[in-house]
Amino acid sequence: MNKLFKPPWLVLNILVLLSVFSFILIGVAAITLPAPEGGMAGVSLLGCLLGFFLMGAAIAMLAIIGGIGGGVIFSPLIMGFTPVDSLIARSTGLIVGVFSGLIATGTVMRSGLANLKMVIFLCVAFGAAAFTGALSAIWVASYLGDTGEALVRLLLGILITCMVIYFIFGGRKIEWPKIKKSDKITIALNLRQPYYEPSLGKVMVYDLIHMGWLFLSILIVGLISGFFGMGAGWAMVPFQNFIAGAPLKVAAANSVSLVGMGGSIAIWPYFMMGALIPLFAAPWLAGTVAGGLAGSLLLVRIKAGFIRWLLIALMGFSAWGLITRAMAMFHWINPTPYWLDFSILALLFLFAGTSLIKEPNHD
Amino acid sequence: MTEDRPVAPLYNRIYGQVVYWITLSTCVICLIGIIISVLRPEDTALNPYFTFAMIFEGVSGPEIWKILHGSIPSIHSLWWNELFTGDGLIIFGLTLGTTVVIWGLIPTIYAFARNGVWGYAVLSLIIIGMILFSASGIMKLEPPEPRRDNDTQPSAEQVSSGWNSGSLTCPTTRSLT
Repeated sequence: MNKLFKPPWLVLNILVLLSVFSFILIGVAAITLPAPEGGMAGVSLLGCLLGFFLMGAAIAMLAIIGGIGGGVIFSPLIMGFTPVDSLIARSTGLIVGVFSGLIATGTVMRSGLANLKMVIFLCVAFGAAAFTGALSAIWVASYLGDTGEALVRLLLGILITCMVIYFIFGGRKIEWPKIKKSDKITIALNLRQPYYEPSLGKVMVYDLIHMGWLFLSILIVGLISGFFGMGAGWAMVPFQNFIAGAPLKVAAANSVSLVGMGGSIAIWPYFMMGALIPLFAAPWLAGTVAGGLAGSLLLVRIKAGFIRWLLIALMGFSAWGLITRAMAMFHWINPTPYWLDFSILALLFLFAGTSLIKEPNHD
Repeated sequence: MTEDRPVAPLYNRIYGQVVYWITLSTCVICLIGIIISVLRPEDTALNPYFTFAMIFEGVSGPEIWKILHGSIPSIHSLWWNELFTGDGLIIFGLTLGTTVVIWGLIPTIYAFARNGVWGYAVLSLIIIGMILFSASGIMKLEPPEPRRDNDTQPSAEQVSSGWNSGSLTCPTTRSLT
């Protein structure tokens, strides 16, 4: 009981109380104050704000447990199943990704798990590339109009499909890669940093290799992240793990910090051209921060396998929505009926459920 | 055998602390901003009662700004001049949150310098420079033109005279509300 009144639980409790109080106040105001003539009903406004807050919290929890950025869930879902303009969806997706990264940064930096020197080194590449990606997104929207909207959805749908396939077949990572000797860049930049591994009860000192290649890979990841408005944890964790040989936990910790740092550069082109709508972004941001904090404290015991299959189902559904919506925008097919969308969702959850049960270490 | 936990380097701890607390503050500021927007909808840049309807009609961000606010404002002058309005406060929160890396890196540079890690102090300055460059809007692209082949996009005439879509009718700018 006492731990609830001590940090970090105390901070979470205060934030939850503040959120509840805020939404009670918003609810009372929205219901009692007269809506302007021709405007949406107060109850609908409350529904939007509360719904976005709760969905933001759920996405952040899933993202933190699944080890990916929140934007990779948000942007495809919004672009695949709502008529929301893709630049608004992508800018808000970046906000969700950046803030789920920032709220996790505090914990991983203070514990020493994240390597700030490595994050700063890689952010020079990631930030510049993500900024260029964001500018490219605006350029495409400016000059290609509806064709650009459809093209972006189609490309994102294909990208998400590839990620789903990777999550299904290539999800195995090396927890502690064995590296004999660090490369020259690692030694020159003094990138090694020991950390305490509680599961082994010992201090881990790790070597890193191929930092030049990792730097180049992060450039490509940054471009994709800025262009599609999503975090890049899905790529940065395996890249750091496979290419540079960073321990999996260190790679994940660096990744969230890097998304928070680099995304802060990529968000501004969207902000400056008016694609970010403050009242649309604010409930998602607040939900992401509250959910991210709660996720890191409350849900650590949930089995990673369960979340992995849940993400596969959700991302598969997003990919379906994005590709069919793009094809409808190109007038290649008619818009898909709701019964077909829900059937696909049910099939994906059935597939995820049976795959989870079949996993060797499922109990 | 259990070994003593190494303390995280000073620069790690400083950066983590600053980012953590400012991110939490951003969340609280945005919540207050939402409350003010709903309590005083006529006094905020984008009237919330019309904003969401337009978003779900597929209207683009720049068009929403033009219809409800009259023009796409300079983001920094909006929060500076209208800090105590709903959107002003939310934009201030977003600005604070998306520049948190600057506020985190400034004391971190000091910690790097104290440890003699000058290379990272320089790299941190480069990242601060990149954020400032991005946030300054020096390299700004023009917003997309309204898409004429989409029924939900308002035409230039609709923008200038107010927009009517389905059951929703909204005045051109808040000055007319």
